[in-house]
Amino acid sequence: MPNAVAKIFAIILMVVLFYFSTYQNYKKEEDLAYINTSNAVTKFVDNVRLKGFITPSMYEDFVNSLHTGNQVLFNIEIEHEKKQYTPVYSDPANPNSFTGEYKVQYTGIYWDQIKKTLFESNVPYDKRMYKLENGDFFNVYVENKTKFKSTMLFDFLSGGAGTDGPVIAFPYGGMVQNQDWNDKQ
Amino acid sequence: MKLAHYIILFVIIYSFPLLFTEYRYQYAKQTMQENHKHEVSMTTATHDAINILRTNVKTELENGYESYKINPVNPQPAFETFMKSLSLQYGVELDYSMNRLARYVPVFGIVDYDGLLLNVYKEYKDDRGDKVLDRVWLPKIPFSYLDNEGNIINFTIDEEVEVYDVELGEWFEGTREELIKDPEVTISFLEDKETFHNVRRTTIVNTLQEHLAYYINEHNVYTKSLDVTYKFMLPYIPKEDWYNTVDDISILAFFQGYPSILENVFYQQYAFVGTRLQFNDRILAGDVNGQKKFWFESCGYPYTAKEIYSSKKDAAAKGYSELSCLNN
Repeated sequence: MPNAVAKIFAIILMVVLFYFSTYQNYKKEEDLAYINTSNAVTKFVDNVRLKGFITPSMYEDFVNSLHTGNQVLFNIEIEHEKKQYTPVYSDPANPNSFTGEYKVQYTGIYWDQIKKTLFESNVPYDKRMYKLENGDFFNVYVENKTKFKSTMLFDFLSGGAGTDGPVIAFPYGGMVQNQDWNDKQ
Repeated sequence: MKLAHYIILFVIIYSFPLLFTEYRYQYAKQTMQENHKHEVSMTTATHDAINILRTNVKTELENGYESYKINPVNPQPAFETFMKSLSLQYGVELDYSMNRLARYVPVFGIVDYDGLLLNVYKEYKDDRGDKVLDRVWLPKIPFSYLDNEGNIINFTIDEEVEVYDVELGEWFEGTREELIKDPEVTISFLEDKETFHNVRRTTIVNTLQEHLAYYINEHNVYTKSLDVTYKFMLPYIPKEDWYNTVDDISILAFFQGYPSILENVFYQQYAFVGTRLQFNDRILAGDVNGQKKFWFESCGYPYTAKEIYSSKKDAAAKGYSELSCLNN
């Protein structure tokens, strides 16, 4: 029965081809999402770094542009590393033990704290501003929270052989270079 | 042949170019993404470093045109900022992992006013006499030139030079013009401005090339103990880029061999960043035809100024509006 075998084989091949093209299509979606993410993140971070402040509308624009045209949701981690100069005392309880030196330390301030200034304050919306200083570091890490269609299809076909890690993971950050707090009023 | 056979034949013939294109596409896409990512990272990191360099000269002499260029730079904070910023781009947070990232930076150099500062891996003995392999700053490498008469000339990034006159056996310092006027100094080399600047440029570029190539190559000696399997080499850098470094304080950073997602593809990137001197033009403000206006001093307007500001912002805050002399 070579004819029957050939038929079955042909059908299998067609099915594979069908899935392959669908998978490729979904992959393209992923590529577009990557470009979109990298654009949105670099724009927002550079904005904050060069201006030295975050306003609620800047954050909202960022989140909006990150999710525009994407089927997935993103996890956003925002960190502000505040530069602090700490004088070194050999005995912290004794003010006379100052060694004449200081240390540079960075204190991490995360979104939970930044959020309070931006969205949970009594200041009118237009006037709210989270201020950063020259020399501070500001970085954003974005990764996809929900799965892409391509990942789902791949998992379905392969029985979950794929990894569970995020498909898009984009860290970006840098030093704050300005403090133009008065420009925006 | 039945229809089924044709289908099989078609699919088999069709899949080869399809898979091949797919493979090529994935490869190109990955490379592009990686490239872009690395480029953005290096740019940000070097910009941050140069910003620190700009503010970390001796604080009491920080402002002003004259003082800035001749002040010694403070290289360590610049390097630390560079590493910190670079590690942020790759999501590296711990000191240990930052240290690992630093192994792919064979050389971090600063072209200072009168010499080249290099930060490289070196083996040295610590206080207890143990051998340590760590990053160190090398002593400043001067841009020296030996002319035909045997005089030593140490160039800087502008007209200032330090010369050793063989006949007198003495060191002299000053700009080229000052030294020509000086009756004692007899170095014919300084006379011609054109040759002076040509030789200055070539000397600086040669010094940079020699030392960078040497120390990047030397990094290979340590790679085994640093757990890096990559052969470091000085990448090809266009002449233009070299000559951009000779007139200003700049940073030369190399980031090579960082393993990426694509196996066997290593990343090579160098970055040059130059500083710019701060633009210091006073802003004058006064009445112009009954209106409150401010303008830059360099515009040379004949109006009498009542007040002087350092920034446009301050002037505008006092009710003056701009009188621009650009593009007119």
